[in-house]
Amino acid sequence: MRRHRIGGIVVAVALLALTACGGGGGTTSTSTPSNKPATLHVAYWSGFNPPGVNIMPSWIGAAATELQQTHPNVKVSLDEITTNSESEYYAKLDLAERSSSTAPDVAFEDSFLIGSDASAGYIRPLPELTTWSGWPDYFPAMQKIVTYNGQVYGAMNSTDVQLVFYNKALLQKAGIPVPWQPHSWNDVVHAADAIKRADSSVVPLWIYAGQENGEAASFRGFQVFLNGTNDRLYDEKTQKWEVSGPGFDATWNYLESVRPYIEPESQWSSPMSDATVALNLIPAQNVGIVFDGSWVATAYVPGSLKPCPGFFTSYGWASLPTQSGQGGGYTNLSGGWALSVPQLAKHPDLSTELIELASSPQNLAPFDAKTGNLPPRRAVLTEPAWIQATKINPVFGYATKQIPYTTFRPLQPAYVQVSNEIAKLTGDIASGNKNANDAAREYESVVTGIVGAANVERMTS
Amino acid sequence: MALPMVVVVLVFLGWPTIWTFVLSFTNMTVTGPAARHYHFIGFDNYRKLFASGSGLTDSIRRSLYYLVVSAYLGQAVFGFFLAMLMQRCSRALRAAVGAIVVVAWLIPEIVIAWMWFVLLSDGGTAQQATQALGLHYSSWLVTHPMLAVSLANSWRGVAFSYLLFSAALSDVPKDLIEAAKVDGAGGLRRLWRIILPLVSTTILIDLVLITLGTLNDFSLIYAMTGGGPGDASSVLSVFMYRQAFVTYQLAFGTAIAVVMLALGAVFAVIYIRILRRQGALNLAR
Repeated sequence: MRRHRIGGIVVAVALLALTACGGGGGTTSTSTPSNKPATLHVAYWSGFNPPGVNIMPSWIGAAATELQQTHPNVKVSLDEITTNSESEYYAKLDLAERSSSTAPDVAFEDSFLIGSDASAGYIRPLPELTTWSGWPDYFPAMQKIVTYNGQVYGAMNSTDVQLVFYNKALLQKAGIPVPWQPHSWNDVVHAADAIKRADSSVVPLWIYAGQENGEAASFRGFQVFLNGTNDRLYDEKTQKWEVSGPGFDATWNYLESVRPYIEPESQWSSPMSDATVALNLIPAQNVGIVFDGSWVATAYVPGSLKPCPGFFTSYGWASLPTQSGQGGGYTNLSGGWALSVPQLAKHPDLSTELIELASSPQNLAPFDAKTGNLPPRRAVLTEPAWIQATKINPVFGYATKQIPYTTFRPLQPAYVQVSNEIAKLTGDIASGNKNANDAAREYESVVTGIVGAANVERMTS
Repeated sequence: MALPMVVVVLVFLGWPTIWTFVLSFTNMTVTGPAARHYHFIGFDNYRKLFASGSGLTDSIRRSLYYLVVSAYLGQAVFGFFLAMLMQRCSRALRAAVGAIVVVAWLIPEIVIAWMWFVLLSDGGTAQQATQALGLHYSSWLVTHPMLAVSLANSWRGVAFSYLLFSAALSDVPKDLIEAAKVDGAGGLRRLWRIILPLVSTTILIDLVLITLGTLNDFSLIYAMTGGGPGDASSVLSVFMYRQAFVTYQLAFGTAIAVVMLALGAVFAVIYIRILRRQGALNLAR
């Protein structure tokens, strides 16, 4: 998923002191002492860091210190890949993984690209992770999200859920009682309409759109809605891509129907739109309803980039409603990042060992808390660093409760292209260049072209 | 003596070009099953590229707009008249204006992109200024993205044409102009009949250089608009980049690169033919 600089913002100065607390090892499955000198290169994306903070040295550094207790001659080198956007990070990482002279030993992988990179032969299966003592502690969805063709390709270190944030004062002004929980898409439109009529100076509804925001627009501007219908992007049972159906039509139509309420084109079409909503509109109380990731709230805790303690009282947060309340009433989608081992890594055993150490509850708790992410495994939830973070940022607690029910994106290699097409179409609808029907037809034909006619199905009910 | 040069040219210029050409006939991607195990697919990429709705014709149209507005008008024509105007000015003023224009040329491209971004974007300088005057402004990056990037490129590049033309104009014999004046030729006539023919070689060389530079320009546009909103400022180079590194269709991107190369070659051939006819270019025949 597209994570932005603001995607992970510092939790609290108070937590800084906890960063280095690594705790003992004891969770590794392969800890044969060895004195062979080696250097492990860990590649990660600069944009994952909260602004002004480089979180990786403390997190990976703690794991490296533990690794050196059993392998004193092993050095860990952090190789930051600096790019503006995640797609560029990926292009660089993948190109590095093509050659043994440039391949890192451990790679920071966005979970939605694991299937694609596994099928490319860039990353190697890690069956030893499934026998590792920490593995059963992961939420089932977090085990599945790194599994491609029955093989595990990494260990998740962070995840997220999507939420509906709403401004209490604006909702009340519009005559809608708070706390608010929409039970259908219509509830959201009604609320947005009421806000627009009550105060024309604010953005009633924030939904990402357009290919400038790539994965954010596809994921939080389309898929969270499609997931609330009976259709899915990919049918796991038949192993075919769904290219049309009532759920698709409903989603495209819904996006067309919210056009009068969403942010202006100058905002959604900007590559900085996530910063616009999180750092400008929300703190200024200028937006009514926001569909965004659970990490957004981390921007407002004391000591962060844009401290705004009032956020936690002036804004509320709710679960994503399904189209008309079907399927239990709510839906969710998660992304997150994993650590994987490239196929051409020089010391794969040591790489796996480092990943297991970095994935200990003690090491993950401060990492997830500071980056505003949710833990992928249960034991982190009882770590002191995590408990303290949830006290400062109550969204953490609410969001964590959704993890057991969340789902994730198709792991098929074609996903990247399909998702890009979705992002483009959300922009076409938001700008009025295409109506819902045109978008539906284009989606059907483009995705059929991407995956091949034999791999698609059309849903009728 | 020529051998080392030939080797350098072949290795650093020839090979990447040939490899790009070869890759454009494969299905190579950045990630996915075809990333490392790619194979030849004949003309499929080109077929896809030249099919309607691929975005190619729109990208070419935008590239040509960018060329005409930002290179021909904004740099060459404007640079020429600036140079003409400066001929009549005092040495001091000429030096001052020259210095300012050249500074724009010296600033790194990415800095220029950000300067123009903060000038034109929502909440930027232009908006604040127009608001102070009671006027409405909505970001040109959204409403007129091609004009916005063309302005920035003109501003950045005008110095090059200006310097070239200044040098050429100062070589025009003063007595020739005086003689024409005495014979009663007006300003426009002198420009058309005397000055332009005398500096025409310089003009052509300027056009060759700025054409190729502008057709291949990527970073200024990408930093200012990202090619957006939507595809609204997606010129050929941005189209290529997006296909190769955003949707990871590397081989398809190389096919676009080949089309860019062909387009640049067409312009280069036209210019070279004109230059040859003028006898200004002494290429081996």
